[in-house]
Amino acid sequence: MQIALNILSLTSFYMCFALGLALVFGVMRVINFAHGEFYMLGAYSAFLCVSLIGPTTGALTAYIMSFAAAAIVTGLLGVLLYLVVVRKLMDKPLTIFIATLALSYMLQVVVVELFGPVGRSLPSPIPGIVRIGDAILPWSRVFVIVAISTLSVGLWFLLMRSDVGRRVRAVAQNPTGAVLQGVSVTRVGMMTLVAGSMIAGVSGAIMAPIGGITPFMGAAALWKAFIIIIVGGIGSIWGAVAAAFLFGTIDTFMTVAGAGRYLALTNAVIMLGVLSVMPSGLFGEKE
Amino acid sequence: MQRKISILAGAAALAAASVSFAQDSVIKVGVVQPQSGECAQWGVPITRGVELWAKEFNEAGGIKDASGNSHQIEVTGYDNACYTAGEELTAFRRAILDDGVEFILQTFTPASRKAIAPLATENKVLTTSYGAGYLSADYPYLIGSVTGSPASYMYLVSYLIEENPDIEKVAIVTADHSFGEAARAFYKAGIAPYTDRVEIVFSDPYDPAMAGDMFSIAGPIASSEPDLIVELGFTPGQQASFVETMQQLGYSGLFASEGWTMNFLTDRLQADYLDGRIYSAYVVDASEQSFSPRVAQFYDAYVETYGQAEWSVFASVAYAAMTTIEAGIQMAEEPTGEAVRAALFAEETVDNPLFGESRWAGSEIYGADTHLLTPLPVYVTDAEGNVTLDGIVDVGAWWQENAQAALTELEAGGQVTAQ
Repeated sequence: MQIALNILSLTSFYMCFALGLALVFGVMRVINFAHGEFYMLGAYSAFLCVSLIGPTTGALTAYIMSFAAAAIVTGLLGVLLYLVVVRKLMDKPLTIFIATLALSYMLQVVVVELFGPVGRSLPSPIPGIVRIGDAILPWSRVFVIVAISTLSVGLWFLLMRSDVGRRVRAVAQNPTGAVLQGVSVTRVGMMTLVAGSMIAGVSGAIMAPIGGITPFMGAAALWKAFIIIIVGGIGSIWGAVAAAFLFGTIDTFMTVAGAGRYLALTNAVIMLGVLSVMPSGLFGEKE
Repeated sequence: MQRKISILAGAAALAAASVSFAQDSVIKVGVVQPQSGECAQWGVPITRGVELWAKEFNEAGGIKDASGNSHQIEVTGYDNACYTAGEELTAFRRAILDDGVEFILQTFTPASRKAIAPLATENKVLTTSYGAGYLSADYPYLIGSVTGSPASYMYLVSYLIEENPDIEKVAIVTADHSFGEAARAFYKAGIAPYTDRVEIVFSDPYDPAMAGDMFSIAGPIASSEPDLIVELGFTPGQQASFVETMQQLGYSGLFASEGWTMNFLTDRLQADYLDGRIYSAYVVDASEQSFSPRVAQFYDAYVETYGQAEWSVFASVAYAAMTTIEAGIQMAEEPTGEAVRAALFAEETVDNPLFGESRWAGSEIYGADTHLLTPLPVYVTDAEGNVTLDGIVDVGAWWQENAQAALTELEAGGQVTAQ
């Protein structure tokens, strides 16, 4: 039972890393290397909110409010990124990759200058644990599971059941066809990048109490996010969920079995294996 | 007559210039540590520790060598990309070949020390660390300034077993990389003399990338029901998360590591859980003010410069490591790597400014007595979450008594490089 809860917990962590990137990469085919740093900025937003207004409002209220703060900060960054970099370089994906890589380093340095390299700790605003039989799960992790599940379902409904979502999917499937149908590719592109950035920021805020906050926490998150969206299938939210669950299960079992040193190798082999058999990923749409 | 005056004036000018030059000459010190990335949490405080050490002398007019000449100290940080051996060598090349550095403080990580050993020795750059890690008679310019890591893990776990006779089961939690491997071997070496009553119940290394999910790591450890957990490899935030997770899993034993970032722990855990449970031993922790007035002053200077939230025990570790170099410079006729090395090894002991008379050792492990064994303070948290001095290990005496048992484990762990 404990292992099952660990798997659920880890799957939700990986979804936090991957959800925003799945949206951006899936729709715009743009590699935003700064995605991990947006996640990191969301975590720092949570830290600042709880530190500054927590003494007045209470830690839990401040923590919830920090999601809005994280979304605003990373949303604005997403707008800036789109206008300054992505819109001008849409036909040069490699240049976008390099530009966003530079942005990621810049953001790390800025945060180091503002907060120092040592990192910060954000205690869980929801202390305590819940017992399920012999197994335990901290309330903070229950919150992560619930929050990211809500975010995922909400995103799915937005993409599948709304007019905005139809336009986003149209651009993702066939930009030329979408233009012919009167869809503004530019507007959809910006909306997607901003939404993906905001999701990254909110995910960072959700995860902030779990493992500590450092200026460099985005790098590890980004690597995992890329593996998940590639294996899950580009453009597929449910593919990302499936891949997150797959890696959550494998990583949990391997760590519990003491084979943690082989994790990176195993993840890479799985990714290559899936791609060799299913080049579009588990749930990706064929090109 | 005019020619005589000219010659005299020229000689006077030359004398003035040489005096001026001697007083103004600069000792270049390099600090090869992660300056960016995740590992900067250790590397930047270490670099700052050396910078503040240098600043102490620079503000007093410079450090004096045995000839009476004063020298300013210039410190430069070089990035080794999180203790990667290849990047360590690249950083050393830049420091030595481009910048003319004469003294370097580097990591104890064995792979990194091995990578730079020939270069440092060929160029007579005295290269020290806050521990040993790797030393060799073939590379006499590689030294260990203080007991430090990884040897401190051995003495720390042994101290705790001696002081707590009810410890019967120990879990060793180390990351799967070079210094994690060294830590594992030295922890086992510290337990080796007590195998009649102490059992190692867990020692699988974890993947650092999985340290974001403590439950998968902590679960098997909790299942092994240890009385003492010794760790090496978690970042400050991960350490706090690990202790919190173990508490949630019902663990009520002791924790030990080279150092803890206390504000991370006090943020997440209650004082009554921390009280008397968290042990550390890593050269010296300057936040504990009773061990040495000079170290206490260093702590105040660090906090004043960088803020309390930026304090890290690694800063005082680096500061302490440089005091051996300091002693060498003060004993040498000139502040070159070669002269300072000769001064330091002129006797079997060095009078370290912080730790007192300390002996060179290491031949049984490394084949060279180039590791200065300084006394090891052991710290424990109190109910307020402060670090307090619990005891001081006479490492020389311990090694004399337990070397045989320890060496067997060190050999098995690949840490013995003596021929």
